[in-house]
Amino acid sequence: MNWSGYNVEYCYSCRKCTNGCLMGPAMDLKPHQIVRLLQEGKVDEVLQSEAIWLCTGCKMCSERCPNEVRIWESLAALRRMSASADGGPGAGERQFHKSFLRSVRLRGRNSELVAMGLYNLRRGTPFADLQLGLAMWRKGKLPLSLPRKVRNRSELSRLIRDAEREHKEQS
Amino acid sequence: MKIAYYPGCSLEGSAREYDRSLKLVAERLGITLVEIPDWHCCGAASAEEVDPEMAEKLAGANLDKGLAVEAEEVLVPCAMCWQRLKNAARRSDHPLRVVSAVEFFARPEIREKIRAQSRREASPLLAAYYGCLLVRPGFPAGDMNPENPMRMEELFEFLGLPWTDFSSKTECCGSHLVLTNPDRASQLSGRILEKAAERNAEVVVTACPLCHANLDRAAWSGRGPSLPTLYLTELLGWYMGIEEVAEEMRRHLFSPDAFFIETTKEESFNG
Repeated sequence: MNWSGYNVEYCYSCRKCTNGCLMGPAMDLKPHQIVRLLQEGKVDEVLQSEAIWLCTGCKMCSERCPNEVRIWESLAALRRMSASADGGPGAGERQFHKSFLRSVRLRGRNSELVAMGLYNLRRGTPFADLQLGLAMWRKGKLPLSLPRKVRNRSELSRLIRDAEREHKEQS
Repeated sequence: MKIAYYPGCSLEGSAREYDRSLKLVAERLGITLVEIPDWHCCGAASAEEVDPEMAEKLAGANLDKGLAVEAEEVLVPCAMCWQRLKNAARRSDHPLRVVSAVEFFARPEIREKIRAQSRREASPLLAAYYGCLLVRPGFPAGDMNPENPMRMEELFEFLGLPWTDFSSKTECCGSHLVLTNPDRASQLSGRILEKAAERNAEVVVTACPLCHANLDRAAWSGRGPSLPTLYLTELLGWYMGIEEVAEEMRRHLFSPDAFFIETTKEESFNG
């Protein structure tokens, strides 16, 4: 993994990122600690943490960093490096992404019902969110019909599937 | 006035209130929305997480489909889709200009039209909540200050609606955690509602379907104070006296009753 462009070498641990991170208190490794580990080349240690999977992608860290360290982007890259991991930290998130993209590949547009259904099946919790799902369905917020078929969906499906495969192989 | 329209997947599903209220408002303002023909997934969310390059291609392909509309701009109400498409447009120097709902409805010529149709003399105290992707990174956010955006508040001021600032207006609602880790998401969203309540806000106004889902759910599940969250276009529709908007508001998990009571008491309007 080539970390050039992420500016980790400019970090002097001012902790502005960690202080602004809303998930920081819940993280086993704080953002500034992750950057320090990257400076030291200890990528594997970071990959074993739960922290990178608690990140919501709010980009507060990168926005506030006085030295333009690409903190959020680094965490995103680290998450991608785990693409082939089986279980362990981030298993739920990876299953979610897989389900979401499978739903997109089906018609070319995501169906929230299909994505969540697949996700819950993969997790072995098919009836999770049932109360929420029913509440939403009753209010007409959960259409049972599939999205309109996008004409070039096979081409898009191939694009997505090839990218997924490539990442799995590379990670 | 014609503008291209990109709804995205959530506006066709769980965020239909946003889509419908926006269309009702646009119709009342005489704006023609032309949905991008055969639009597909914008490439944000999971696509971007898995492969940014692939996501960029998905986004770019949508912009190219958008050219068929023959408009200068595309209105993208979902904040995630908006940032995804705007980034792609910027990097490829695309002729189509990508516009967010906040940017669009706050424009001088649009807000003048909105105010001209004002039907409300009183309003609950509003708190504008921006969330993350509308304001960060500092670019390509629609030239709003990422630490203290005021675009919505300026609009409220112009329309004569009472509002309050609050500290958490750009703090993350929890984003996709509402699906993968709802407990954590409720903590973040609950805190946002608490901060708004501390400032005596009675309604939170947002322009992102995921933020709405998080805040709505937090109030509904009791993880946060009982503050309703409205989409910006629901607020504008209510302001202009469009009765059908009330139907959409009732779909929220946590219904904004205060608006209903007022709305149902109103006489029907002409025009």
